[in-house]
Amino acid sequence: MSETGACSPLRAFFRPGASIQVQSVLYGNGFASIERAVLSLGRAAELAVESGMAGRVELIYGDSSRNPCLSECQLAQLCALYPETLSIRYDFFGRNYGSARGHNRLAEAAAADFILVANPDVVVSPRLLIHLLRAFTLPGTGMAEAKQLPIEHPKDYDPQTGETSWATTACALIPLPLFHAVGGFDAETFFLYCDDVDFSWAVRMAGYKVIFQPGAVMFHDKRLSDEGKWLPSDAEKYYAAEAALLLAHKWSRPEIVEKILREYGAYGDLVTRRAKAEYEARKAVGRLPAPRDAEHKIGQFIDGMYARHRYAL
Amino acid sequence: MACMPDTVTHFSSALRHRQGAYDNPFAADNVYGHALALLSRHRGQAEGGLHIDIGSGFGRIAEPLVAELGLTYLACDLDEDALGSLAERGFETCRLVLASEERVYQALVALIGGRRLASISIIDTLEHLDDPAATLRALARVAGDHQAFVLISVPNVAHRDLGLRLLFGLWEYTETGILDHTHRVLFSDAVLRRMLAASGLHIVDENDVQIRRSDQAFPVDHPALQSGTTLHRLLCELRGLGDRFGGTNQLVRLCTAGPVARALPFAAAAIDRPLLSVVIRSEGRQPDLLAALMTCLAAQTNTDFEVLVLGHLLDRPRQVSIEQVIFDLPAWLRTKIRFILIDHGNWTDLLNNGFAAADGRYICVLDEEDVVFGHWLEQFSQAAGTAPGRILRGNVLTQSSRRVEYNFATGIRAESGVNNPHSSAFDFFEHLHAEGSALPGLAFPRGLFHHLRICFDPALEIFAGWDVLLRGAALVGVTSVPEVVAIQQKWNRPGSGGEAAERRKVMEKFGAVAAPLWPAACIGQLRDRLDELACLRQVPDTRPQLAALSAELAAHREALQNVAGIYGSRSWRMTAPLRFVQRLAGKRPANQAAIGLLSTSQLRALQAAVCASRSWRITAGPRWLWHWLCTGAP
Repeated sequence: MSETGACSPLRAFFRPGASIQVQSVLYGNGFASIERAVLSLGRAAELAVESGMAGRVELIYGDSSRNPCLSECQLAQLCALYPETLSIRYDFFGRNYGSARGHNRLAEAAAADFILVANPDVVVSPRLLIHLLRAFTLPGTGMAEAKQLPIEHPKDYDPQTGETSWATTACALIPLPLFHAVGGFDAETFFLYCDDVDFSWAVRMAGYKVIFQPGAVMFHDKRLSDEGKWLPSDAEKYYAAEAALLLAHKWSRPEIVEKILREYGAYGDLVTRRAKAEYEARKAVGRLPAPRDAEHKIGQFIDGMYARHRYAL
Repeated sequence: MACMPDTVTHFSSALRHRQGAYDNPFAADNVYGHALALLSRHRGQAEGGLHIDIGSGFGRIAEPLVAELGLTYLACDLDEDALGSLAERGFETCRLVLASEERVYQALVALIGGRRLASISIIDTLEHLDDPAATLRALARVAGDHQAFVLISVPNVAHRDLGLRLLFGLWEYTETGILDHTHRVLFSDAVLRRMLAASGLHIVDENDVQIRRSDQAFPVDHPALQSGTTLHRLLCELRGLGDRFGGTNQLVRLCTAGPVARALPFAAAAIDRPLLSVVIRSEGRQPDLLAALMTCLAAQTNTDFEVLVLGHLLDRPRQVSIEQVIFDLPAWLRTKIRFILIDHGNWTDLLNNGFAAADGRYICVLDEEDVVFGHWLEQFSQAAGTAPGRILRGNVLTQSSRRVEYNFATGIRAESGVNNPHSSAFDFFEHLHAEGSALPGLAFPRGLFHHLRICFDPALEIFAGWDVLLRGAALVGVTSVPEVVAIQQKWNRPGSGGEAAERRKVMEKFGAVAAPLWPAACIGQLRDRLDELACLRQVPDTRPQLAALSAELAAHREALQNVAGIYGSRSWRMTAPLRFVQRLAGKRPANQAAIGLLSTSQLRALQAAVCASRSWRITAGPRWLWHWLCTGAP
């Protein structure tokens, strides 16, 4: 596929009875949260199959944890929840692949029309799969994103069409052929954050749209501080800081890279300085990705975000 | 007439006591008068036929009853003197032992024979029996055979006087009265209702005897029992929250026979209740919002809850839309939900219905637009463990939202960041002035509604929640959870108006709750002071500006004095001819009369110009000399 999108004429990926592989990468998740997720996903699968929109739904877990998150007994327990509708497989990686490489591995072996990339702890609304599949009845849809609760992501989208700059892969549906066509997630560059931004832009570069579906609701268990502010962990801060540099580099924005490096150097804390050092080390050994989108038609860098935001959180 | 033999002694002790003791006269305001009034209200069904008075004593109701209702009066008792008196007065009598259900039933059947039974009365007798439920079952069977009324009266031990005494460790039996020393079973409204339901008797009317000060209002000098004390008013107010029988001396009920409504005549063991009842109001117009809210509930880390979806004034399509949302849910959640249709009233009536049906230890209210965090219930659970029975309050944010519709579906679009309009800790004082909490962050203990009858006021359209919180907080307190537990999505809807009037009403109602401790006028004054304080807070602080102005004035005055001092000095006047010459030459010094119009800076400039002038400088020597002579200093 070329830089400007060689999949034309754009097709509608949906077909009745579509098969879906739901895939999640585990990392130290507790059984209770996994069970909650499966209980909701199984019901969504039942309704999607009953409606005729989906034919087969399979759930596969890849486990990047040091020790397996699921015992055989627990896996059997999960399989017994929706034995007719939702088959479950489990792959203990034995090493931490991160999000991007983990999902690539799971998608490699997939035999389905779509993959639903989802965090392992999300609780989906009963009609989530139906709503997401509907987005693919329209030609040109390349990725459909669910709406998060309890805190909606502030990035903007077209209120008439749902078109948006990028989609979070906390819960997003992607046609498997398109996933392969754009090369999956860039696991060489991104470990944990911004792999979804990069992938979304790759989808758009291929000529497809990224669609936000507000009717497809899912619950992603986030908490706020007592004052109503985000509470990111140090790891989240680090990978977000590192990914910001890598994304700007990859999407041909050297001036932004320089600006971020200056800021990290001048005002940064230990976390951001470590991210700066990592970036510079990669650069020194030639491990940075080749820049793309030289004309800046796809990538958006607006006030430190990757889309216009409707409001600040 | 066939009477049962005196084979058991259940009634005998009561009879021994009764001998010569219970010859109470008939009066319109005592239990006899109330009983007759009840029967009279239903005279269409009671008139004519036979009336059996069980435990009749001297039966002073007999004559008025016969005269007013035209009934044939038949007295049953064990007391020979009482029965003798009735017989002398021309009434039919029978010596009846209230033993087992079957024996009493058979005895009454035999007594009635082929006559039509209109009614039975058993006045202030059941409390003397070891097994009053057995007698009630027998009466129910007889009444059922004849479709007759059963009139029942028992003393009420839930009269406030007993409670006030017991609060201070006082409990005494008396010779007669509510705690007559021969009473075997103690009745309250609830006990009587439960026993009637278990016996197959159903209350159709009531005419209780109210006595403000009962025979238990002693010692008369106890502050809790003296009607003028603050303590008495407070305790009476609290008792009034429990039920309406605090002033009832005798419970007087008219019943008909029907199916047995409960298995046991006594209270069941504690019920295993869920931690939380989630009451959700829905008009069925926004099923997608309801589905989103249900997803929040499906994601709770603590699932010890039940859900009551209250469908309000629904037409068929909207009812079906809600049912569809519920049907869609995972089975584990679906089984926790009750869908209740309510076709009357406003939203506060709706909530009261929901609270009445709720089984949870705590009850909370959610709207379809609300979003709750995953640890919403977990936070409540932890707080409930630290202080059981208090209102639980978490922090709630707000966010502007609007509806969007595309790609065959509708959804909600957030339009703003989250705001934090309320303080994270509950502040009672602030709540006296304004609504400072949001319903999604509140969990009310069920006792507040079910035992203290703190309900949502249908007259309050806007602030019913605030009203319940304020009154409830005064009684049970509030435990704050500092965590953010929910977001209220706000639409751009026009206000309904009337906020000010409702605010005042909320405060008046709180004043009524607090009245026993704080005079109502005190509450009003407090409210007015808070309003004034709020107004004052809106006025900008002008003290810095005043200080700057004051400094400016002082500087101006100093400059003015300096210039005036020069113009008034002897040196200046002495050199006037010089300035006259200058004036002739065209130089015009400042007009002395105009210096009052000059600004501070202009005055300072003038002073500098004057001091630099030749006419001022040439008098510097004499001025120095004069100064030296006057002060002795150079």
